[in-house]
Amino acid sequence: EGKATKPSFADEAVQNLLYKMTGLNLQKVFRPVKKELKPPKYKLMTEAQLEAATGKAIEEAKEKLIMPPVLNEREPIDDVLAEDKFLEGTETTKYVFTDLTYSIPHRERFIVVREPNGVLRKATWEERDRMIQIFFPKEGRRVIPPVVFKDEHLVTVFQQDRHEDILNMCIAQFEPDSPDYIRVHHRTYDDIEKHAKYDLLRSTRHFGGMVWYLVNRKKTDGLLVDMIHRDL
Amino acid sequence: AGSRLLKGYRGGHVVIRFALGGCTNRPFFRIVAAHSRRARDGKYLEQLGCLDPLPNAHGERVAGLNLERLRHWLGCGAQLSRPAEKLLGRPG
Repeated sequence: EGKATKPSFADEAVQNLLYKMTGLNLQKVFRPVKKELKPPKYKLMTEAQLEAATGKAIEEAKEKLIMPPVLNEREPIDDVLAEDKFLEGTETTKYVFTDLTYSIPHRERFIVVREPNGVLRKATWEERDRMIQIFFPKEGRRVIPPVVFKDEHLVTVFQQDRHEDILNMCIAQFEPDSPDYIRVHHRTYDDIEKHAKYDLLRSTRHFGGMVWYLVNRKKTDGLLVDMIHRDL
Repeated sequence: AGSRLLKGYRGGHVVIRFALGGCTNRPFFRIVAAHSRRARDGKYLEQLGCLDPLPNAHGERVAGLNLERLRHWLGCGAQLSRPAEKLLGRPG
């Protein structure tokens, strides 16, 4: 509001700034994700090898910190392909047809619904997501989004301080431009900003998105104070 | 032992039809390209999709069709059974 060309999220300069602000806390990025217990392995290295290993670790950390894209909300699809009045009353339920050709990206698939009143329309985004999950299951997604993403349960999650986990789940479950994804993210950022818990997201890949959201709504006071205290 | 794998027959042509599977009171059709002389649920040439005739939690009957392979088989000269015609006529 007031600037001629608003910088978008995907600009190089914006990305660099956000990356620098995210901080590179190797300890937290490589905090052991819960796996089987293995005794720690000790390696004997010279100075040069240690530096090489640290360099490689930094590279991997950079990969893990790639920010998920922030996009605008997608438009609801409402395209009627055909209206056949003579089919009215022949069936009682909707029919959903999905194109199962393997080598088509999911965005371009034809998923079509034939209503009982004979109208042939393209499926809505929720129906598309469900069908794609049924026929081409992806790890970490469920067919019906888990109940945790409703508002009253989000409050419980925030009281347990597990914002990072729920944001990861949200990324795995929803598309980046679905209204649910955006709503959950906004709710999380609002809560963090209300309680000044910026530390929880400091070295994860959600930090950039959070800063972007706060900047767009001009609520950065708490974050700036926090960073000044830590001399970042 | 293994003599029924290659079934030689006279006549017969390729059809695209439904093969019934599933449990008691729970049908599930697979849309399949097979020879017309084969058993309904027997060995088929290729599976081209599926149809679940019972409505799910949202009141929809889910069907999937592999359009690219369907076009290939129809181009090879396959015939359709009556319910297969009805199903493929729905999405147009």
